[in-house]
This record gives sequence, C-alpha cells and structure tokens, in this order.
Amino acid sequence: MITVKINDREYQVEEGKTILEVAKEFGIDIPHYCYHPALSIAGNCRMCLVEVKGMPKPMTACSTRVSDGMEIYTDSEIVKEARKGVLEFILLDHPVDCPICDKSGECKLQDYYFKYSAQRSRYEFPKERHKVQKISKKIYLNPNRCVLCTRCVRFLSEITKTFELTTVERGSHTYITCVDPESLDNNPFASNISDICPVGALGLNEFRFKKRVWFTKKVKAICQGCSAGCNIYVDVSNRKQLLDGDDDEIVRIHTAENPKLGQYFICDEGRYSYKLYNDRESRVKVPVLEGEEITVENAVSLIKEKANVRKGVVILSPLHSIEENYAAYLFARERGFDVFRPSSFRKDLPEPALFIEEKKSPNDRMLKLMKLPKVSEIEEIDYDFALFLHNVGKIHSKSEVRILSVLKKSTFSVVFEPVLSEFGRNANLVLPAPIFIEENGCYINAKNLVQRSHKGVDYMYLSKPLWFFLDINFKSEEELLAVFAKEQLNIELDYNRLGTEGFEL
Amino acid sequence: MALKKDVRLNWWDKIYLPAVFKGMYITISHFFKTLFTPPSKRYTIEYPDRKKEDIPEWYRGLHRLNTYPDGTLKCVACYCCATACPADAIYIEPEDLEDFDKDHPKEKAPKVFQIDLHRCIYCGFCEEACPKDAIVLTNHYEIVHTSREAGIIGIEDLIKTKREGGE
Amino acid sequence: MMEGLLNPQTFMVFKVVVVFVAVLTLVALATWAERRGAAFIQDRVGPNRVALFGKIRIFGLGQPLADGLKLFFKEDVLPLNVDRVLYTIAPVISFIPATMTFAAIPFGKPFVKNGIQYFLSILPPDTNIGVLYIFALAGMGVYGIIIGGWASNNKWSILGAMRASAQVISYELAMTLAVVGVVISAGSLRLDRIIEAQNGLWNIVPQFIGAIVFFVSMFAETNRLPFDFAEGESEIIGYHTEYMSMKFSMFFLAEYANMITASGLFVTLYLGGWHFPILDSTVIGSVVAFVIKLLFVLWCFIWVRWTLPRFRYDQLMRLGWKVMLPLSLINLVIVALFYAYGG
Repeated sequence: MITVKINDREYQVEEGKTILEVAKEFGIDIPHYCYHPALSIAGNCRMCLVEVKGMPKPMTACSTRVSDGMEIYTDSEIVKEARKGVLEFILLDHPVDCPICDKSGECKLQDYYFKYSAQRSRYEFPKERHKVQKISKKIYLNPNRCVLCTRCVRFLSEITKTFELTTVERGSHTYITCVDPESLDNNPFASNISDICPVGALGLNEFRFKKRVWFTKKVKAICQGCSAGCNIYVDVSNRKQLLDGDDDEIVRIHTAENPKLGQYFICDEGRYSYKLYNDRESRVKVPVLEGEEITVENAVSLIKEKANVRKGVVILSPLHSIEENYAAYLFARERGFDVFRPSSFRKDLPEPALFIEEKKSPNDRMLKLMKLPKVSEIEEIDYDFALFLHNVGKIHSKSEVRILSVLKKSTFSVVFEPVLSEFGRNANLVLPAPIFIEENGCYINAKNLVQRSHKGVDYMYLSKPLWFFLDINFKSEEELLAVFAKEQLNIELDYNRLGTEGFEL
Repeated sequence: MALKKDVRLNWWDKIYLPAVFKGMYITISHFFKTLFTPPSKRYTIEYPDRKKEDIPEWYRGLHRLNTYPDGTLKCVACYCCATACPADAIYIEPEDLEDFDKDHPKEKAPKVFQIDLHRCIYCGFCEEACPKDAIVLTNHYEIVHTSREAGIIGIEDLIKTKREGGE
Repeated sequence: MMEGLLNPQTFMVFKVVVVFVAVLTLVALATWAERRGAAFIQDRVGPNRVALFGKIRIFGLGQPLADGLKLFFKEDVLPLNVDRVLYTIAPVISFIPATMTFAAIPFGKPFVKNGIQYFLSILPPDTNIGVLYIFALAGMGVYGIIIGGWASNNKWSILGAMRASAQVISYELAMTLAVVGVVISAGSLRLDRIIEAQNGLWNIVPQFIGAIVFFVSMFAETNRLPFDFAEGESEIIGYHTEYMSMKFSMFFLAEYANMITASGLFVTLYLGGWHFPILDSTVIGSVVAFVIKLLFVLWCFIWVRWTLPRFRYDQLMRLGWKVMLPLSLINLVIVALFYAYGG
C-alpha cells in the first residue's frame, strides 16, 4: 500500500493502479472517453488530464500509474483549462446534431460539454462530412459524431477478437470504418459497441429513432436468457401521455456493470430478448379455469379447495425467481406434496462464447442447490393435484414431455405462467404470472452468485406473484428470500445484504 | 411586522358624506364618459363584429410547422417540444428517412406530428425548445372546433397555418 | 268617448291596471338600467346583444325579456327536506307587499271633472293612514325573506335571512322616526296632505337630516348595496340560495319593486311629490314630474350600488343604532321645536 494525495487529501491505495482507477474507487469523478475497465489503455482522448505535482504538463489519469507520495489535482485551474481545450478540439468536427442523436440524454460528450466547457465554437470552416451508414444488420455508424476513442475497435480486437472495425486515414481525417460487415452480423457480442460508444457514433438499428432516452426508466435486472446471470438495464417507457399509448413497454436492454461478476458486456441474444416480453396480446391476463375467466379471489379459493388432497405434486421452474419457486415449495411442504425440478433447456454455444452459458434458464442453480429430484424420476403420474411453474422461455424437451403427461393425468392441474404455452393449454387452471420486470426476484447464477432483479413496472393485468395465489402468509418477496436463505443455505439474506452487486455463496 | 398607518380623521372626514359624494362623482363621470364614447372607441372590442387588428408579435396562438423553401419540413422529430410541453399535447412518431447522401442530410422526420389543441395551453414552450425553429405559435386566435377529433391536428394542417400577419 | 267612460269606477280600474303595469315595466327597465349603468360606470359595454328579430339591437333593451324567459323556462326543482308550503309562498309574500305599497302613493295632481274629484292614487287619499299603511306593508316584505330562508332548510339561507331581518328592524326605526318629522310638518298622515304641504318648499331643504336618514335607511330596507346583507351575492350566501326558476325571479322582482316603491316614497315625502314649477300646472305634467323624480331616485340606487362597497355587519349595526337613530331623533326634536315655538 502506498499513500497518494488527491485534491489535498491522503488516500491509501494499492500499488500498480492508475490514477483514474484510484479516483473512481474513492468516488472522485474524472471525465474520460477512451478508458474502459474491460479494455486496454489507449490514452488517446485526453479527456482525463489531471495535474500531478512535479510534472511539467497535465497527465492522462487513465495511463499514469500511482506512486508513493504522488500529489494529484483533479480540478485545478490547469485541469479545467485542459478539459475545456480538449472538448473544444473534439467538438471542432462534431456535427452537434443532438436533437436527432439517439445518444443524447446519456451522451458523455453532452454531459462533459455542459459540465466543463459550455463555450461557443470558434471554428469557422466547413466540417468534414462522412456518410452515415448501417454497417451491419444490427449496427449503424455515424463517423461524424465519433470522438475516436477507439473503444469499439479495442473491444472487437481484444474481447471478441474478431477485428471488424478499424480506424483509417490519419490525423484529423481519421475515421472508423467496418472492414467485415458479415462478421459483425454474426458476432454474438457486436451490439455491445453501441453501449460502450461514449457518443452517438455507433447505435443499434433497432433503437434508432425509437425512443428518446429521457422518456425511459432504467430498471436494473438480471438477464433471463441463460444461467450466466448478466446484469442488465431494462429501459421501460415511462412516458405517461394521453396520446402515447405504449406506457410500460420495454424499449431496450443494455449492459449494467457488476464488478463482482467481472462482466461489462452482454450477449446480443439477451439484448434483443426484450421483444419476448412486449407481447401483451398473448399474455395470460386473468386466471382461466377450463377456458373461462375467473376472478383472482375465486382462483385463490379454488386452489385451496382442490389442493386439499393427499397425493399432489409441485414442479418448480428454473425460469422463475427464488421467491416464486420457494413459495411453491413451501406450499408443497405444508401439504406433503412431492416436489420435482425440470431440466434446463440447453443450447450450443456460439463462437466466440465468452461468458455465455449452455443452460438457458436464469435460476437453474437454485433448484440444484435444493437437491430436488428431477422430473424424470416421477414414478406415478396420476396425481390428484399438480402445480407447475412456467415462464417465458423453454425447458428441456424430455422434461417437457414428462410434465405434460403429469398435467394431463392429474385430476386438477394448475399452471402458473405469463404467456400461454402448451402447458397452460393442458391444465385445468392457468394463473397469470408476472414477467421478471414486474416483480422483485433473486436468481442464483452458474457461479453461485445470488443477484437481485428489480421491479420496474406494475403487475400487468391481473397477474400476481405466486405466494398471493397460493395464499401463503407473506407480505413481500423479501420475506420469501429470507426464509429460503435460512432454510436451504443456512445464511441470513435480505435485499439490503444483496446490494447492487449480489451475494456470493 | 405589519405596517400600520395611523390615520386620524377630522370631523369633516367623519361625516363620510363628502367622500361618498366624491366617489359618486367619479362613477358618474365614468358613466357619462362611456355613454358619449362611440362604441368603436371604447375599451371593449365587441368581438364577432369587430376584431382586434394589432395583435402583438409575441402573441401565442395557433401553431405552425415551418418548412424550407423547397417544401420539406424543418422538423426533425427530436421530441424537444413534446418533452417541454407541460400539457402533453404533442404526439410525434418519427421516421427514418435513411437520407444520408444529400448536401443537407436529413435523417429523421416526423411521420406523425399531432397537436391536441384541446390540451394545448399555448404556453409557447414548444417554440422555445425547438432547435430548428420548426414549430412556432402564430397570432391566429380563432381556434374553434366542432368535435374533439377535429381538435387534434396533424402535419398537413400545421404547415397550412398562415404566418403572422396573414399572407 | 273617453269623457263618457270617465266615472269613479272605471277610473279606479284604469289606475290599478296602469300602475301595476307601469311598476312591472319599470322593474324590467330597472334591471336593464342596472346592468347597463354598471357597465358604463366601469367603462364596459354591458348587455347589448339581444336583438329584435335577430337584427335590431335596441341597446340591449330586450335583455330583461330574455332573462325573464330564461328564468321562466328553468327547471323548478323542489329541494329535499324543505318546508313545501312555506318554501312556495315565501316569494309571493315577498312580492305582493312590494307592489301593494305603491297603491298609497299619489302620483299626480288630483283633478275635478263633472263635479267629481279624481285622485291619482289607487287608495283614496282620505284614508287617514297613508304613511302607516306604507310602513305596515314595507314591514311585511321582510317576512318573505325570513320565511324563504327558514323554509329552505339550509343554514346559509337562514343566516342570510337573519341578517336581513336584523338589518330591516334596525333601520326601520330610524326611518320611521325620520318620517315623523315630515308628518309633523304636514300635520297629517295623509300622503296628499304631505305633498300639498311641500308646495313651494320641498321637505328635503328644511329637514335635510331627516332626508339623509330616510335615504340611507331606504337602502337598508330594500337590501341594496352598501347594505346588501340578505343576498350578499359576492361573498356571503343569502336567503334565496335554494331558490330557482320563477320562485327566484319573484324575489328578484320584489327587490326591484321595493326599490321603485321606496323611490316613490322618497319623492312623496321629501321631494315634493308631483310638485314641480310650471310642469305641475297640468295633470299630465304633474305625473311627468313625479315619474322624472322617481326615475332619478331609482337611478341613485344603481349609482350608489356601483360606487360604494358593502359594509361589514358590525359597521352596519353601528351605523344604524349609533348614527341613524340619534340623527333621526335630533331631526324630530328640531322639527317639533320649530313647529311648537317658531311656526
């Protein structure tokens, strides 16, 4: 450990770190474009200039390592002047078309300009113009807006190692270009370059002109695509306007960093999965009994009446959160019902795979930790009562067949799912389930990390959490999590302890 | 601390009648003044018969969408007006023109641009927020509709609104 | 032909019809004058759009007609829990005395035809109680207000009615005492004698204080601004809150009829009645003189209303009991002393 002084205050820091990393650690904001924690250091944007005592010129904070006794100033007059100058240079050849730029509202250039510069351009000559083009099926490139931080180039060469983008020409004529559009189409991580672009140069074709970012609400959630448990932001339209009818629609999914998980990116499959959740037409809107809609109260009392049998079964789902599953588990335990777990749907990994997991369900690990028997171990399928939890997504086809036969054979079968599936069609009672964005839920990923997904929108239609339908005496999802942690993992756990980064088992 | 003025009335004031007569003189003088003023010169403009002609330039009336001389809309569907609108009266649906090659490239334009004149409060924030001077409030104040549907006007109507001072 | 028809019986019918129609017409005109006058005083235009056949504007004179029609066609709802009988007759009680009072007022010079004397007042002037009759009926008017306020079963209505009755009682005292001075100077309760006594010098000159007291009390008696406590249209809620349609318009008419009667009374008692130099040499001229004076006093009602703001309730009571009553007593003493020792 060494001691450095930042803005006249002493800090104990580890040796070998850069000034920017150290400052970030202590909550001191140093503006930057080209620095990204997952990428190599480029030091080409010059935005992170700080004053270091003894150095003749301001130093780039992202590439200067700290040393013992270093005195750093992050907002001295020199630094302010330097930032102003850098911003003026960057904006010399910037089109300033913020009104039609989809990044505006979350654009680093905008933010820094208002924070550190806010001066008029002194440039009088025509600006250089490049063609705006859709460089792949997913991505468009507007080189005019580019600040040449080369984050995208470094991402594609260092993380995915596919090398589709590169800079061409020299000096002020430099611009980014795509050398292999086909490869970019097939790259399962290509869309990340729109997230890491600090300005609006790279964007998603799907999000192009779709929604201004200030009309959306960021909800931190867990990707439901596979058991990697990537942290995502789900942007939900929150424009409550009479003329706009699309309130609470999921507009896009983008990356949320989680240092504990060590991941800064998400795969394109997860990113574009938001469309699955916007399909409101096929949602189960109300409890349905044999094709007839019934009220929630009726459904609750009906379950109570029908579950008053000796031979029942509850099949949990790896697609649901800990809370939903454990509500069903408690329900089964109280009545002495059998509990089984289906196997997750598996899918071959793409190339490159990085962190993508084979098992396509977010909560597979929880059911494994509970050491439940698999559905293939069900011996007799003629139960009096059967409850199955299902969600958007798939389970293993062998489990599917087995569960279907259980549902068909049982005297009374209940399926809890948000979108009507083959299971719901073969059940007596279908309960409307909320999707992940409508409820607080925790998931255990393949690396045994318990993470929380936040509630972002209200329960759609009459969908309710399972503990409400099963009439289990709980007030919130948090209590269910605590009970689960206590009984199954022998630890105390609540949302506070999970925090933003999760809890490692 | 409230300021209390110490008013002392003498016996003449205390009769009150002089003050009453003074007041009555003032009112009757106004009565005769108005009575002998021809209707065209009174303060009141009797609206449907006579109309106010010198509407100031800053008056905020019916909206207009400006166009370039070649007829294309100035509006780029940036939503600044819809964001600034306190009454949520503006609805925009953008369109990707994919027009990347012209001298004045225009990538984005409104496919639908509706103003609900029943919701609009004519505050002029949209005009203030517009980065392209595309939406302006003209000084046309006769905004009448016979149905709620007719109050929601689209691009075709908005570009037809006359500029300030007729034309 | 007309000469042949002239006999006391037909003349009586003629008088009743003419006076009743004239008073009601004047009520309509007063509402119009009130609104136009208020508008002009406030530099506005006022109602001017009601036109004959949709074309001829006639300065908005059609407005009272339109208002009357509107009120007539309004739905007449009987509010829940009201006292039905009293609720219904209250406007009538208010309206009838207002019009009846005018019966005693002589509006022109008496004339002799074919050896029979004709008087231009509905009641024969030899009923020796002219002034008393008027005050008796004026006192009746407030019953309408109180009954209306009570029968409405609405606390604000009854409060408005209470205020009105307290006010009327307070000012009636001062008013009556002021009139006693006039009665002393004329030596009779007969209104024609009172008018006769003012030939040459109107009472307003020798009994200036009494005239002021009577004038001010008149406003209070008719519930007009600045003593508008019964209705209090702008801030406080009045006795006819629960009334609508024709029942409301009865109250409305009563207010204006009261104004006209009060004006007529003031003209009779203090402004010399139908006396006017030169004009009163003919019968028609005397009627014209009376009407002109009456219209002027009526205009004063409107004029004062749009000049003075409303008094506060305690101010009203203080004015009534501490100023108006002593002043009328002083006036009475002065007049009594004058006629006992001076005249």
